[in-house]
Amino acid sequence: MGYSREVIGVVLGGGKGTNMEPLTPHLEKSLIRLLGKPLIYYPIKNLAQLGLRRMYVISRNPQRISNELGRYFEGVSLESIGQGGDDLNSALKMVKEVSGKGTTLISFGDVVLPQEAYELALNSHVNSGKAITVLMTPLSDLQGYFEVEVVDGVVINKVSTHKSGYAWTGILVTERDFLNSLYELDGDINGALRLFRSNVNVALWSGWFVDVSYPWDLLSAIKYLLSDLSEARVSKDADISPKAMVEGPVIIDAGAKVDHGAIIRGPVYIGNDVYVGNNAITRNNTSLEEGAVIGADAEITESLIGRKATVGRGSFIGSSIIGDESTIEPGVVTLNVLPTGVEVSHLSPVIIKGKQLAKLGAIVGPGTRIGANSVIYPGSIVEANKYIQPLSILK
Amino acid sequence: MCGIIGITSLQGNFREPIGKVVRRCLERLEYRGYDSVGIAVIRGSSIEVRKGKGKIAEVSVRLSFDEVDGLTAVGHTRWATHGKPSDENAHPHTDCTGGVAVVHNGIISNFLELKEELTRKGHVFRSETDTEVLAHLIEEYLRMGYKPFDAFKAALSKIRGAYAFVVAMAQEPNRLYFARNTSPLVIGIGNGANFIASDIPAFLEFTNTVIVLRDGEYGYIEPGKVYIERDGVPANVEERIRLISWTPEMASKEGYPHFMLKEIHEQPIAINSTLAGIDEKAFNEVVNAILNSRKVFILGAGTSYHAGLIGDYLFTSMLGLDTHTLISSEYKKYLNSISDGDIAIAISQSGETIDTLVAIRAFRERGAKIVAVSNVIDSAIPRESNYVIYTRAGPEIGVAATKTFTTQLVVLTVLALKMGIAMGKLTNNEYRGMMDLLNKVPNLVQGVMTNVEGKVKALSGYISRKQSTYYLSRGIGVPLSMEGALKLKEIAYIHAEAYPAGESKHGPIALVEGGYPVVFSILDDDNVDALLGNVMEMKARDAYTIGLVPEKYVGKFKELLSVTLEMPNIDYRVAPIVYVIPMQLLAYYTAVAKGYDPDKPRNLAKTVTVE
Repeated sequence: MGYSREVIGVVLGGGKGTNMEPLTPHLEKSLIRLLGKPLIYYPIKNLAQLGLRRMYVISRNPQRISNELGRYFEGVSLESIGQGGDDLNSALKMVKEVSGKGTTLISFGDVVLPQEAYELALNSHVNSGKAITVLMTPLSDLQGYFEVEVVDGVVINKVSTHKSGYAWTGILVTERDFLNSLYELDGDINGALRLFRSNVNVALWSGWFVDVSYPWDLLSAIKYLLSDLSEARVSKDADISPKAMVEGPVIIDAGAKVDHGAIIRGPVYIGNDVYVGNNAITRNNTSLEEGAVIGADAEITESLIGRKATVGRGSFIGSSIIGDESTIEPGVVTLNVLPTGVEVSHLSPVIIKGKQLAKLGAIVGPGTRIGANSVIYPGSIVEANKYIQPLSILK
Repeated sequence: MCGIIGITSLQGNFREPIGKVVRRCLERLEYRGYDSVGIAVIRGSSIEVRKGKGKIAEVSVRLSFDEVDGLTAVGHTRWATHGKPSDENAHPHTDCTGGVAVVHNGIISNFLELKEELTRKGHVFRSETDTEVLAHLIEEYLRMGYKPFDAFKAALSKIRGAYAFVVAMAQEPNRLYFARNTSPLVIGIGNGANFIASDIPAFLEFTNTVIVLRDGEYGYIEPGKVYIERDGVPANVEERIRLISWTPEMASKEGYPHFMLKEIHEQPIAINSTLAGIDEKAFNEVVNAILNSRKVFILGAGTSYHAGLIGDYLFTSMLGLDTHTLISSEYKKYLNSISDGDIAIAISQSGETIDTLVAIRAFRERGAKIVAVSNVIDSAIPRESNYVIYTRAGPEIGVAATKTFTTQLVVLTVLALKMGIAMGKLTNNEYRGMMDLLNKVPNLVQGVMTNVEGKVKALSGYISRKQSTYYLSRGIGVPLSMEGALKLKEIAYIHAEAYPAGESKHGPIALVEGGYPVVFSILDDDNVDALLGNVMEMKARDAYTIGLVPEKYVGKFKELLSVTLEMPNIDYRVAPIVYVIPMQLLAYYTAVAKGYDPDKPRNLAKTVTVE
């Protein structure tokens, strides 16, 4: 009886990323880099670690996804295919075409979850013997998320108001007959869930979960992804000055150079060929992507600095995202502490001296130049490819 | 709820006697129940059955399970819900010839008529269980000349109810028959052995290749063969096979990352079963016993003590009874004041808590009558008591008590209400109104869970960075707060203290500084305005105020609270059952946020059997 059935993985990477501007549409959301890897790398890695060996990515730009991902996964058959329409239904409808006879695990390409969540979903599914398993997680504010409602059957709906409940993590574990119905119903998930009413299983995930739909979510994702790190991983091909100070869990990739007097206080990621100048401080859940340049005396905290972006001498960047190939001239300050009482959703709260403060910096679109000694107020968004005069105040 | 395992193997497949293999599988199923256990092994032309009352570890040694060898075996671990655990009632059950052995999970609804019919035909029943009828039914058909599979199918066609069966027949020593209707059943496909069990963990040590059976399916396994059929149509076995890749422990949590979260979410069901399982006769006896007694003592340890304090609140404030609630290990204080005519209500989830057991023995010696409230049928404390009331929460695996607490509250509240009627303190209308409300509690609990779980998870991020917290309330909310604080201490390892809110200014408020978390339970009683003042005094010291507030008072409190958790407008006497839900979730999520395993808190055991 040597039969086995492979579970097939399908990652939906076709989200338009409308809420991610100005980082998109310059770059597709699923290809935005976090800790040196495109966002969509993370769900695929989870599926690969689950033992899946055949995976499909459904997206609107299959060629580009395929070029970007090809190098990461060995021993895994990963096929990138184009999506018919650009909504969720058309992507779900397509899953049937790539699924096999057995189980298919569907995941959103913009969701970052720990490995245990995927294990829970698959285990719970097989254990239940049901046609479909929906993985959900409790959330204090469902606005912008899909809600899973479990009352005499399961319904998944997009939420537009502020309310607490259970969010769909974007993970579905399905059997062939469910996918057939989903296909016949043009990808209408609620229609199919109604049809399978008594044959639907729900699993509840209680750990961390990030659905990247706003730029700020990238900062949460960095924080959680780095939270698994317990030690320093420094490439032997990185050039760290003996006078630099590196402490806490950090990843420093090949070709990075950390100059005299620089302080790196983990959790921090420093990508390939990044340069960190003299006496610069890089700390707390910061990711410096490939080729970024941090000038002398600059300070970066809780931020994402995009590929080949430059932060000039003496600047302070906090709780901010600097797009690829942007230039922050010397002396630019991002203000990142909101006055108390200001409510910001999709933001993880930060505690300072016993008080809960929302921290929020700036988002600078790719290819933009911010003039020297400018001041950027919390929550400012600067469009892509702009030039901002020196000494500006951006609110 | 019971655990089932069946194994068919080739000669020499296991390097140990099959009895030992079955015993290990049963240990993996202990979370499904553990009041009695048994195995049956086909040996030559007969079936050897060894079974008895008690936990697997104890019975398997007493009856030497590990020595029984053979190729085909079944095993069962039982959790009695009706009918007490005893050697006779333990599974497997056999027919008159001893050639058919049955293990079963579920309920045969028409067993009385079947039993009558079979008895008329001369069958002799040895147990009080419904299960035994299947063994005799099969025997009956075999006697009529049916082939074993046909006899099994014919017997099944007679049976109504929810079931999972596994049957061994001496005539076919390499085969086990099975049938599933509602109760779960899973086949495990191994090399040289096939398995059938109520849950995957049972055989996960041997194989990770499984088929989950569906309702209405039946068939048989042999070593190297699986046959499944439904309504006479064979199923495609190959297509149904799934590979799994997880540890036995993960499989038993059924879609939850931890037992504690599973048990928190099971509370609506547990409360429902407890309400449905109320034994009017037992309650009436207890009501009469209390009416005829002088003083009422309530004792328990940990969470059970808190449930007792809430019961005490109802007994004292609603009924005016002379009630004293004590922590079991502190019983000595009262020894001198106990005499004939007193009554003590002993609360213990496991029924084995040694502190409580010692206390009731001392109380009995001095003439007090004992009422046990327990979740485990026929455990030590119920056995040594004059009266017993059972909660029907099902087995609780997480060390932190959750569903057993809320079901304890249910039975204590029902008891208080019945006392109220008997004492003339409640009108019939009031009583019916309260019972109606209790019947709505499962839905209310479900609603609160859905509304607050996300908020509580977000809140846990804040609490997880704190070293100390207060849980404050007034009235019946005080013992409720004590339970909330205990949960946070025991699994999130954060110091938490509960005291009546009026005490703040007599000392404890000195500890409060900016950001200090204070959890207020505001119930719909006559303490609302006083509590408003207590929230204000904490707010004035910049505390991080968290409030469980009835919907109608949200407007009144919202401005003063850092976090508002909205609760339904509900009679304060029933409110603790609902209010404890966010507290349990807060402790759970805080433990998870801190990276601790909530199911295995350090230094703690589920049942405390040492003084």
